[in-house]
Amino acid sequence: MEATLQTRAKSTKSAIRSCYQSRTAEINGDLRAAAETNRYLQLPEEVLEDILLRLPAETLKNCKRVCKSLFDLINNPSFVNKHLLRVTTENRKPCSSSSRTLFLKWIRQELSMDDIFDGYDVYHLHGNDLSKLVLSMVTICEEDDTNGNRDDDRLSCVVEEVRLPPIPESELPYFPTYIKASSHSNGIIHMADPENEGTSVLLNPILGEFKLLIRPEDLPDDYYSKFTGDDLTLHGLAGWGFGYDPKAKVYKCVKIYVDECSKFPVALVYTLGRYDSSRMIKIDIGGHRCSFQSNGVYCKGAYHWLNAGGQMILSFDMSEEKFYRTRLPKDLYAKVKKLQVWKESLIIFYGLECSWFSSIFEMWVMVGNIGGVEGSTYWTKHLTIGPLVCIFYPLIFWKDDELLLEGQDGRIVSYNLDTKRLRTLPLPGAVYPGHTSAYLYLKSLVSL
Amino acid sequence: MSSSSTTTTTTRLLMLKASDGVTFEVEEAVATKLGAINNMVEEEGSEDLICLPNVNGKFLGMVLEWCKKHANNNTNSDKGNDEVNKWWDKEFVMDLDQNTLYHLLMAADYLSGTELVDLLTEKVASMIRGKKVEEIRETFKIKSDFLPGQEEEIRKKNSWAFE
Repeated sequence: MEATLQTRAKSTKSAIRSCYQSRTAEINGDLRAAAETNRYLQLPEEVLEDILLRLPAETLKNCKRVCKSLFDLINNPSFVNKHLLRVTTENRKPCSSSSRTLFLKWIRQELSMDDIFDGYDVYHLHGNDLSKLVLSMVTICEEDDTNGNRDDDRLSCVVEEVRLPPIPESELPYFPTYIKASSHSNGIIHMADPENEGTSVLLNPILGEFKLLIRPEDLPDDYYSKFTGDDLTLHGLAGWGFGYDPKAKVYKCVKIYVDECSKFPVALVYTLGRYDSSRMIKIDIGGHRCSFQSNGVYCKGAYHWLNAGGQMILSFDMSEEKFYRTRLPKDLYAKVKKLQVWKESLIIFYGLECSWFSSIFEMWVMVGNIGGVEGSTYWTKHLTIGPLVCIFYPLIFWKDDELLLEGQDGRIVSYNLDTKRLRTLPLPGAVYPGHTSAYLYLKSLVSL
Repeated sequence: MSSSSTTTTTTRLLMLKASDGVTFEVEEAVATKLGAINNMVEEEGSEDLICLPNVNGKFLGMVLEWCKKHANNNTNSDKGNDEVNKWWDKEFVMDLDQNTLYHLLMAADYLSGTELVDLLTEKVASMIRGKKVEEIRETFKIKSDFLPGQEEEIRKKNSWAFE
């Protein structure tokens, strides 16, 4: 009896002790866990920032969902700018081992070879069909290939398709039915529609943000004639541009409107911000017909368009909000051409020959500053590319020595200036030559 | 004056005392790879014992181990040294768990070991890169403080492009 009592007492005691021990262990564990919880968030701010700045925008998008303090830190405009600077510098390194990302806007080709040989008009066939539009994000992962890659004729890359955003019903009537022009600045893709008075879509596909730029509500219907002071009617849009104003540190979108004779263009300039604002500016184009190639390029704080006649470049300085004209060499007026950027300078491709069997392009580089004294800029012929077989036209330089070209057969290829090697970009489908836009994309946190 | 100080720097030994009383005897040239110690040596000069109340002995030891490797490699002015340092850095951070990494990072930052901080922040970044939200929380033991539904709202709003 006693013994049993004793054992019971003993067992109770040991039970209490073990319970106490496990409780203590639990408490200690809890304390340790509590000490470890959120500890990384308490790192000195500059250390935490240093860690985050090393991450790509896609990962930072996930980090934003981890907790509130990371959300606030990553959303902070000063952080966004530091990150942008880092990505930009990384992308500019001439022999950077990191990957490059291209953004491609293209139209899927669904024609038979006969159609292509017989000649076709893409705009008539598919121009109004957004379903044929494909947006692709292409990440080229090039290892050090000084020894030459085994798989010589293909670029190794990851291709992802970017879907268009879901459009709120209220904005549906304004959404472009057809996208003609596009541009890219610091991770934001701008696409515009010549209809709908040129509604623009702005996307940051990495963040998954989008925004529509609709004609400002306070603009009266007869704003064009009121503004020009003439009895002119607005005929349509002649050009779009989108870019960064490095002085005010804001993004601006500019649309050029013209009258029926295309002689009196005006520009509507939107400044993006917490509250978007807009203003109109008259453009003096010196009596030329204002008809531009709809896709321009952004270079050194300004947006540039080539006029359809090919005699001049019209430039819009994003900070000064002023337009400048730059004349082109006379002997090159009539040739097919395209404006592009190379090593932060404006360049022009002149097509000397463009056929299935032989394509030859000259590359001219502009020397001098846009908006400088008249006659202070000149053009110099840098090199001749080709003859190449089955090439339609150059797209962009994605590296100093690698040029992306559209093929006549619907392929996109990369051409190396030194080795003259051609490599195919493995897109899911064939493109309609002449309707592709490509950008060297920056994966940024820039919010819309 | 200046010549005598340079001769002493090569041989002079410093005593570093960690928060738990553990002391380390290190060559000045090694310890001055840490900005904070370099400043103290320059300011106080004569003091040979330096107390570091914010660093535990275990982590101070690791920081000094790193300094020693880099100081040794930098004395030989061979071009292969960069490669050796890189290789050694890789080894150094390879198996660090998040707990050790945290303490090392705090110690390196406190001691202003800029190069070491760079190495460690890159290591932390490599542990986050490409990870999903839950994985990041788990790896770094971070508790979400979003209100119910808030996180889902952020996710939904911005998920059209790829998902």
